[in-house]
Amino acid sequence: MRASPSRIKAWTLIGLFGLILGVVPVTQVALEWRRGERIQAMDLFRYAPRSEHLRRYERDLEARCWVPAVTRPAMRETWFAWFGDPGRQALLGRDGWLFYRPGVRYLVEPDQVDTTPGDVAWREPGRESRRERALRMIVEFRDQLREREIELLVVPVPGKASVYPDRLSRRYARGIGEFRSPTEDFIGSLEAAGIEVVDLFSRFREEREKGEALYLEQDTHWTPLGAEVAAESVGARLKGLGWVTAGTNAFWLREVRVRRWGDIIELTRVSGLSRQYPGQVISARQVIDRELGLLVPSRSDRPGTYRDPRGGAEVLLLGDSFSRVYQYAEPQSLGEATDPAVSGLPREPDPAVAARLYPGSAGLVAHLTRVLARPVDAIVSDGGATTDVRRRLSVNPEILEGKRVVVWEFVERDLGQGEWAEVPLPRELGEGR
Amino acid sequence: MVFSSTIFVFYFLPVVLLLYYNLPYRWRNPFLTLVSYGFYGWWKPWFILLMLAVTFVNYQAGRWLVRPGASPVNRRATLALSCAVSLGLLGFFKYYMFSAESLNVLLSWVGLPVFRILEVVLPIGISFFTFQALSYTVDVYRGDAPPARSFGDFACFVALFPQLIAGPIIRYHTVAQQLQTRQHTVERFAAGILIFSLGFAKKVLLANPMGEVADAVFSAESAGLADAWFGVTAYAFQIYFDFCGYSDMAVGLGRMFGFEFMKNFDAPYRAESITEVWRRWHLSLSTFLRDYLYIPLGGNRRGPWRTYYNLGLVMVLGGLWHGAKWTFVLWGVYHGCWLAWERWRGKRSLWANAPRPLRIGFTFVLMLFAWVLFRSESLESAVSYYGGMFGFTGVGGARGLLSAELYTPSHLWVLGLCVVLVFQRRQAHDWAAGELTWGRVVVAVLLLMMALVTMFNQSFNPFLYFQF
Repeated sequence: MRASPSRIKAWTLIGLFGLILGVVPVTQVALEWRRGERIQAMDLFRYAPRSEHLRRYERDLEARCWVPAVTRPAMRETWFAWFGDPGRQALLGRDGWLFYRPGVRYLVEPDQVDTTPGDVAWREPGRESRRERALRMIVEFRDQLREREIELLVVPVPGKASVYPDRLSRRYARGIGEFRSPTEDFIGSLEAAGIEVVDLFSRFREEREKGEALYLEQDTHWTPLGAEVAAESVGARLKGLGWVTAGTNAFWLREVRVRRWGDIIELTRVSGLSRQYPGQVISARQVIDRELGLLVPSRSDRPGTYRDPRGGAEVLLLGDSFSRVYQYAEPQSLGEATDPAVSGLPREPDPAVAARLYPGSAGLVAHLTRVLARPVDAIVSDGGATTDVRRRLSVNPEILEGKRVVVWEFVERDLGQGEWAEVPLPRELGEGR
Repeated sequence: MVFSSTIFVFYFLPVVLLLYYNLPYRWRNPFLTLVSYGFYGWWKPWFILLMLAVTFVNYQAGRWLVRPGASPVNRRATLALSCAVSLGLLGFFKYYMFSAESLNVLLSWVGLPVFRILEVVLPIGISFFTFQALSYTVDVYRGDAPPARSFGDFACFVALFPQLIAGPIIRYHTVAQQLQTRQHTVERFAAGILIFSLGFAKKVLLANPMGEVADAVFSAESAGLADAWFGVTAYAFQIYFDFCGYSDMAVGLGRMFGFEFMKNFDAPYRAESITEVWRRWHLSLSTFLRDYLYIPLGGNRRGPWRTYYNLGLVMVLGGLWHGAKWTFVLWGVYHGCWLAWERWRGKRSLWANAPRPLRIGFTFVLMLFAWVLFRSESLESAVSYYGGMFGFTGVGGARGLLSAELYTPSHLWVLGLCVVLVFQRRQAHDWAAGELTWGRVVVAVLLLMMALVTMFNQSFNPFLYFQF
């Protein structure tokens, strides 16, 4: 008996449906079996059926699935080719400028109150918002430092969109006069709480009028000029407050060029973008100490902690990648030196470190050292300026010995998106060890 | 578990289908019940107990209602008890926090100290399965439906996973027969795949991108004129394609298991009046409210003023059913007022004499105003949003940056596609209802594949009606 045409179509559809649904798990199991791995789908029966186990099982299943690995690059490229869409992490601005989406989200979203996780929990009235929590943590940190007779200077760094909104939206094309970052109000709150703050927002707006870019085009970070301007503002403020007097160290400056690929392109992983923007060549001024050479310490046994070899630094800088960029070795290869390395330095940097300097000794720390003519120690953590640097300080409080000032730099989006955990400083040196 | 997830599409569904069709017929309902409980408990296993309690209470109530010799008083008491337990659970999980927060606001207004609130997570789909279970008891009480043949059948009806957490709300008498005997045919299964694929594509290819736009605008501190209109239009499309897509998937899955569920949407944005909207939007809820609330309240049989009151009350309760927030209450009031107004005008809208495109356009704009209330986190943010829609916010602050996130080519393309799809005469559901042709097979397979690949690469994938 022959099947009717409608049954053939129905069976065809069912067959294709079964094939589509079956090919993913069967291939996944085959791949895992071939690689000698545990069959992940069977993990469901390894743990008690609790909510957190089920979530983790589902997350792992999605994370290890072979389909995204195969399709994602093609999807990204297609989306970019068809729509110019650089993906979830980036926003395409004007004239080839790229912006980090979370940074822009921080600027347009209101301050938020985090909800309590869990099924059932008591909620206390009057919960603080993220910015209120950040303010409280800063005040607590200032108080902890004051107990040690150390002052705190806070430096919120403007995100790229705060300084160049016109490069992102045509609405500011006629002028950015109306633009105002919520961080500027936060600075007011800090000042009202008696915290000393460096307002880089006004300073950068003045500086951008001079024409030279303060931020990289396809990167979240400032240009070497931006770092220099920030260092000068911080240095001037420290001197103005009388917390630090000018020292006697002598430096010379050397102009070098480096090519930066742009961390936003790296985040998007769109090769079309990499082809379109093959790196930005920028000039940086390296600070070279007459005795030490580049202000780049050798590798430290404490990751992220950099001490001036001369010792006796009165200033400790805590910061994120804005403090690291152009200064210390890069964790990823996001640049290359286009000029030959300096030769004949009083001291050569560690070759392993030197290979990842783009260009090194030209960032915030080096220029602050130059402006103050004094050594500066630093604890730097990419994306971890709100809590991680304080944790590192709390386990290594010896670094505070002899310090008069802590300069705390963090990028403004951390006020809405950073972790602001409570990190008590040990009262006595050595307690954190 | 959500339909547009790896675990559901590639593991749960194929395994369940394979086992289901290899089981003897008499084991299929118990099997469906079991996997539906697994499906429901996937998010929080302890919620299974909640659903089991609602099922047990309503099943037992049904038995008591048809007990030989049950007096009218006993029957009424049974119904009241069943309603009290079901609505009590719903009330606690859904409305306790809202009531406590509102009380705190009142206390703070009069200068009294506020108290701490117990935060309770809302079990997904509680409004849907509670209403379904309750409808059974009411139908049995009224004599509109026979009592369930067994606890297993009734538990299967309440827990049936295709429509469990976001509807359509099915009524016992519409599936009672199907629970006993239903046909499993190749044609029905294929029709199920067709409509499931369409629903899946609506959700992943249309609702999610529009949701990104809506979220960006509604989560902004304030939005400018164009951004606000763009955002609420995107939300209108998101909620429609999200919910309609989910309903289509539910109908499609139902067919794969031999069930026939009602169509939940009938081109709602082509409505020419608010009255017509409610004949086209979330049909299973609007008919539920009509049969179990509006008509028992007297419907339109007690004079015009009572009719207006009933309409208003039903819509306010409908709003509260969607969520425990004042914005939902006002959303209900808004719709109730328009319904009453149109009823006063003889079920004619204010623009009944305008050309048809304008009638549709005006009604759509009215719905947009309502969606602002529906989507806003609070009354303050709704008011601020309305301000944006009327141009009362400039480009000061940082709000001008929002435009960079919104007007991307991909968002504009999807928005354009949504406009074409919602306003065209022939809707996807009708297209899928036609005879299975090679063209339909190809379209369904291509859409499913596109949607699956997109799903793997999307990070934004909420289901809006889960929260209800």
